Amino acid sequence: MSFPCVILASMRPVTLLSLAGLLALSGCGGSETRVEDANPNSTAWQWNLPEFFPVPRIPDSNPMTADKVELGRHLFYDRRLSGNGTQACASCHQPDKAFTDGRTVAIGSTGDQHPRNSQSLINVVYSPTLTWANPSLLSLEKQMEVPLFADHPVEMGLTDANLPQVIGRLQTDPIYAPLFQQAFPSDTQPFQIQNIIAAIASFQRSLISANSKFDRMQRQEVQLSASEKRGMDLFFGEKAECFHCHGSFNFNNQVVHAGSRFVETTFHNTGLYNLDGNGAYPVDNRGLFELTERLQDMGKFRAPSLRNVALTAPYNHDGSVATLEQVVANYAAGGRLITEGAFAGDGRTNPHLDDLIVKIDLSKAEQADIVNFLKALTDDTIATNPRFADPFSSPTARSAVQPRTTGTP
Amino acid sequence: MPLAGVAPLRQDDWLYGRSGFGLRSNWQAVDAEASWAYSDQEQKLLADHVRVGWQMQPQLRIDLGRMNPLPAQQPTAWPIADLLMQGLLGDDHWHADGAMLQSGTATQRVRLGAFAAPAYAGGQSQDTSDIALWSLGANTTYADVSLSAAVLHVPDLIRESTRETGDTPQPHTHDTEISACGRSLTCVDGNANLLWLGSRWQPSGSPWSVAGYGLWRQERGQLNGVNGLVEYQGDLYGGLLDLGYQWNDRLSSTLRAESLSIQNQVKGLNATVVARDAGLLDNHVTPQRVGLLLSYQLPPRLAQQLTLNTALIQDQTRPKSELIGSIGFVWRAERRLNQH
Repeated sequence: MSFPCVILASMRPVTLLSLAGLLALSGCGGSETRVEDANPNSTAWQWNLPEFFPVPRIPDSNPMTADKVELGRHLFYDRRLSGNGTQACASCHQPDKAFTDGRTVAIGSTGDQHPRNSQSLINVVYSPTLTWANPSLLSLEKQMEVPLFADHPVEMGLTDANLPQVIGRLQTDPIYAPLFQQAFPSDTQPFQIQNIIAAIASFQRSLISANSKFDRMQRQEVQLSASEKRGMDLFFGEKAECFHCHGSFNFNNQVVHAGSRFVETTFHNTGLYNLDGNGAYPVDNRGLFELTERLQDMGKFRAPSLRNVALTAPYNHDGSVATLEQVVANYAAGGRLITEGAFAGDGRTNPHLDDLIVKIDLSKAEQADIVNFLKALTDDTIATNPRFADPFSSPTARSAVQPRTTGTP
Repeated sequence: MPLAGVAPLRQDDWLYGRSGFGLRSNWQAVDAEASWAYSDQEQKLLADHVRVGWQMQPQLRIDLGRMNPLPAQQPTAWPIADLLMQGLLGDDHWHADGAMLQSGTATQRVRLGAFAAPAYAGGQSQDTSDIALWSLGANTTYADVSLSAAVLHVPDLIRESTRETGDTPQPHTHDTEISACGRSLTCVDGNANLLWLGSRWQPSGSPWSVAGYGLWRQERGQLNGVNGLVEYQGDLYGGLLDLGYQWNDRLSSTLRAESLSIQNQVKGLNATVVARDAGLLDNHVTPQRVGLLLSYQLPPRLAQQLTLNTALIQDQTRPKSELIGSIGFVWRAERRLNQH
């Protein structure tokens, strides 16, 4: 019932004359918000984004196409792409682990140990900087040159010398000729490293996950448990304040997309180490300092997305924290205290500690609630999504997104 | 009360706008008025109205200073803010710094005003040296009926929109400055027009009176948010109807019905995300209220007045319809400083 209208109807005509104009404005119609999203899709690629995800920013030099993504999926899982034919991108980025590898630190194709923990590739399309602490790696295409060609440590182990041989391996597999042809129809010789990089980058950009319990709760499909709800309130509240570094739709604080105008690329020292009492971090793992050589950048790393964090153990840039419970306990303590060993030191007193890292008076139960909320950020469909799957693992996966046989979309 | 796109500035301020003290003085053709109110939110006295008026000619007057910029009759203040002001301002207290030129008689008057920032509460001018608000109003009285109308134009508006008010906690910011618009705040950035109509009918010799007010706020521009810059159109419609009855010299009652609706349109890249950030998505509430006010004025003593107000209000914006009771005390002390 809209009662001003009812009252209006019962009044004398003279009053009606004087008031009708007023009450015509008075809200006899209901409140509503109409939203018209600009369509981010093209004939070549459908994003299928949830409504609370912004449209990704894609470089003009490498537009998304279904054919490129499909080629990229094959290349991503193909071990022949490494110098010695033993390792694929997927070796360190496995879908059942939210595209991490479960190791403390990554191991390269020749056995070299990487100083850092493999990062998740889920929603990587929204990351303005890539890797743990490099503000200059701004595109997946540029970043990919590191695992492909780096020699310290060796990851995929490509070199100028073995590159023709590696590309030759791909050319000999009959599945690749049509895939390359369809992905790069204007190229007379599509088997090129630039095209390989572009295709893998396109596949990585397609790795969008937004189907966790938290997401379903936002869509009002499920409800969080009491503990998860308490954890969420702590996470977003003034007490734990986790959201300051993990607050966007992607649960991190470095986000870029098509609507971004101010992109902040912040890095944080979370007090994991304090080797010498002056804030030192272990050599080869000193964060932003390794690039800038500014002392205040010692131990600064990027805050990773917490989506699917339950699948990405162990944690932190060097995989030195085994469980989510330990991670939360470290933050509650305002840093990590290492009492013995080569890395002994009190990270809580690290002089370069981020201002946001302070002791938080969280009970064990509250810490458990936060962990339970973090587990509710897990999208269980990642491992079973055929669009993300290894095409060489089974015929089903291979035909998940069949390449077209002719023409363009 | 969560209203989509309305940012209450003084949501938790119990005293500001409901208490204060002031001085008023007349000196030949010039009069002045100043009043202050205590803000329990800011924990200090704030200058509420500071005005100097000059009666230049019998039918021409100018006022300078801090005053209410709406040049039209407004509803009688109740113990809680009416929906029109709450929807427009986020509270019931509107003042701006500027000048108001008035011409006419008590029964027929035209007012023209120009005011600096803030354009309206919740809004700020991008450049405070600019005129933030133009107002034009007129009122006329025919027999028992008085009518007034005002149009206001805000050429350069920036105001923060609300944030998500649903069940899901959202990352918040302590930023309130408009420099944070697009970085940590989602703001309306554009211009605004306001149409205000007022009418009162009080037959001589009758204990009955009727008053009605209507509001249309039109905002056009962009939503400037963390997740993008999108086109925005916002229309806020409000109406208020008072039916009064004077029982005797001291006791009166007023039945009030209020309604408000907010209609927004958002277009562009990431429009849904930006609208969500702005608190506009969850916009299914069409607030409606009905209330009964009993007002009793105690016998005057030593030039003081004491009025007791009791309001019973049914507010449909509450999760469950409920009756809200409130009691307000108004205490006035008047003393002529300049007796002629």
